[in-house]
Amino acid sequence: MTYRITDQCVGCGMCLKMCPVACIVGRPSKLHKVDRNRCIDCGACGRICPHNAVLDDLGRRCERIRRRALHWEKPLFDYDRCMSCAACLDACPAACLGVTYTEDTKDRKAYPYLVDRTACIACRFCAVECPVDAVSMKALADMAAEEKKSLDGPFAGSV
Amino acid sequence: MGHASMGKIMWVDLSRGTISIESVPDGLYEKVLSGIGLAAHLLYERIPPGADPLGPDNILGFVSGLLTGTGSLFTGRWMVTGKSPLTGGWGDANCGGNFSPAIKRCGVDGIFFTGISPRPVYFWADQGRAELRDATDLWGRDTLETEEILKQKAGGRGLRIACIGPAGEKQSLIAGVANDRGRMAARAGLGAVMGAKRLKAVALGGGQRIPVHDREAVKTLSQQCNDAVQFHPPFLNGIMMAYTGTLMRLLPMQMAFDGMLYKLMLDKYGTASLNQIMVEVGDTPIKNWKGSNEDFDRERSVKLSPEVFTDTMVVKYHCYSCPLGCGGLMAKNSSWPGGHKPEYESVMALGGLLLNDDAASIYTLNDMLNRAGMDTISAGGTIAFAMECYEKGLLTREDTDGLELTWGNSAAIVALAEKIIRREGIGDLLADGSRVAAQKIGQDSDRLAMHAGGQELGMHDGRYDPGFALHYCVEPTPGRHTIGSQMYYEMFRLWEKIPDLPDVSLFYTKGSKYESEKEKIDAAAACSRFMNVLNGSGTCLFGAFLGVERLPLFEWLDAATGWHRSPAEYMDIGERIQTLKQAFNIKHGVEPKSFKANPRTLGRPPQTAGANEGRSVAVESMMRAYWQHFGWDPETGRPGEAILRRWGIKNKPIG
Repeated sequence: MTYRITDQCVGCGMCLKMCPVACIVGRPSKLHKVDRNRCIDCGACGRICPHNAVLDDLGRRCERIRRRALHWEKPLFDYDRCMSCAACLDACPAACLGVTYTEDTKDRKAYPYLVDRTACIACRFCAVECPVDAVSMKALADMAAEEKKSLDGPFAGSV
Repeated sequence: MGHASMGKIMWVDLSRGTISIESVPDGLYEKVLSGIGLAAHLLYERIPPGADPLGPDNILGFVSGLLTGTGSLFTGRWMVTGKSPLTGGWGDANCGGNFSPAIKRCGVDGIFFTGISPRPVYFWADQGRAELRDATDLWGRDTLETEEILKQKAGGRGLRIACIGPAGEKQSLIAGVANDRGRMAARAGLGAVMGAKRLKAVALGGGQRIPVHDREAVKTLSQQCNDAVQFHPPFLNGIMMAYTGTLMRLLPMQMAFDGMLYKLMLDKYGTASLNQIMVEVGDTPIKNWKGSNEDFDRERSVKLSPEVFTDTMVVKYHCYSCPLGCGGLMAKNSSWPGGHKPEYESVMALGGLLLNDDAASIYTLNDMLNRAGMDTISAGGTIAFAMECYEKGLLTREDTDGLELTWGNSAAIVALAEKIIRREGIGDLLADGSRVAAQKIGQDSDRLAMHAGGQELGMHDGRYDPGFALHYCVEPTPGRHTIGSQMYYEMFRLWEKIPDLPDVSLFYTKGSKYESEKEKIDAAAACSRFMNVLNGSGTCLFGAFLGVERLPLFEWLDAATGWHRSPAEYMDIGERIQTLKQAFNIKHGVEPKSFKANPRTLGRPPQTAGANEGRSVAVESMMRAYWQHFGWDPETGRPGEAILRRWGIKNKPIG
């Protein structure tokens, strides 16, 4: 089962813009549809829909989560655990992660971080696929100042 | 659809420009896994006998691994497969980078290309769509440029790209396929197949999820594995390793090699860690396999020490899902061209093999060859052949267009490599590897070409470790250093999981390495079978060096797929794949016997100086015993009808 749009849809097009794999089709003000063969169950359509018109892969109705109020979750990286394997970058369907490193020869690892906060769709795939559970998800609104700073990578502010 | 596999493959007919999807039954994965096994099954059944490797009937397959994307570690390897134009038989080349998960994220386990495109094209797949696009403007571009242009065209979509450079376009038989800024699936000449098909690149951006039976169980195993990888005791530096190598050479005893030690070396220096130690112990072939460590002593090899290659490293390079990161991206400055850190194989093929101790030239050559999309091992081997021909007068200064091809002449080596890439003058003669060049030169020059079945040998000396010699001669893909050796078997530690296999005592005498006994053959066959399981699951050889108790390959496979198989049953799958590859060669008229490597590489005549003085390898008896082990004909290496039936392989596959 994949995500589905019910007839509460008013055709506002928010989901269509948000879908990272372009699997939603529909004309403005008309009922939109999910292409089941291409849907990756990221849930972005369900989170963005202002009319709660989307059912998830288990048939449950998705609740809208306020994006502007920073309630969408963002990935927080535990850089002590991270082994630089870049599995998170590969898992990300929105291509919003990148890597950062320093010129410091003592630490020659590249670390992942959230490059494009607005592109992130809060799908959690990076957290799910990290082999060593070094990624956790937290809403931006709930983050402490320290955590917010770490969103820019382990070297943020040091250069 | 099963778990861990995508259950589908994609077929692209380049002649007609059509793309289709084929379902793969779950049962097939259970028989041959994914990756190399899936490709071996399909190519064996579908490439007609006698097909021209550079013609429309050859099938070029890009395959991922069964474990790729499941949360397991070291599983970012992809393979390009086809009928090799270099050996005429089974061809596969293996590469890391970021391409392996990209294949699965397009919803398939493999993408197979048939036919020949009327004009240069590249294959593009993203967001559920796939098409062939014009590549006229990319033709002639090097591999790094091609990637950059395609990425720019795609905007922020983060495409993962495999492509050929000018060498593949010119159908040089030692051309490979590049990914992620010049990492190469280099061997078997499959870049030439891609060039012949006029397929410039494969660009993938799919975002599909990869199904896993029990992701949490896979992760638990991964975390245990990672604990071993992240173990960092204080460590030797480069020159101390050279002295360690000298000591190892002088001692009469040998200690079984534990992969944890190699892990530490890889972690710190990458494969460049081997640069000096392997010369010192006698594992590195020197001067076209004629010389020894005495010709390339510590004073010379120190110029290629591991530090030389890591000092300008900016950041470690990890392939997808790799916790170790043996690669490195280098700073660009006046003498270094930047790019990927040269690997041991490249350094020695372009260094010790040519008596070249100029690190800057090796950097340049490595960068040139990666950009051109050419195999550094075969290029080095072929240049070494040309140098010895020059020394013996078989090639004159007229033939070389004025190049002084003397040993260690780094400027001439760079100039020659450029000619080979462009197929200019003498470069055209050498661009198809040493066997083809020797056929053209004639005058018995094949005795100077260090190849097995047409493929230049890796930079590991069978006279030091006879396991290498055996695998060079006996594998369906000859001349490869990535399948087995006595040292690999020590590191794999397979006996821990499969009690029937012989274990290795901690200390043994060096002389015992050269005695051919049943245990050696059992070990070699186990390496071949195990590597097929590894390549079927997309796992890295360097991960496997940790040993099967630290790299839980069989357990990962069970957790990711939901199967319940014993390690011995997985090894049976490996044996089926090995038999498929051998049957592929028989089908295409390649006699296994013809893969016997150049006698010089086997110690005939034995060397008179250096680490391998007086050593020779009785490879014929080992080949017979190896074939017999698999139930193949011990005289010809052909799998008989009963064996094919045992593994469910069609005897007369439809062409």
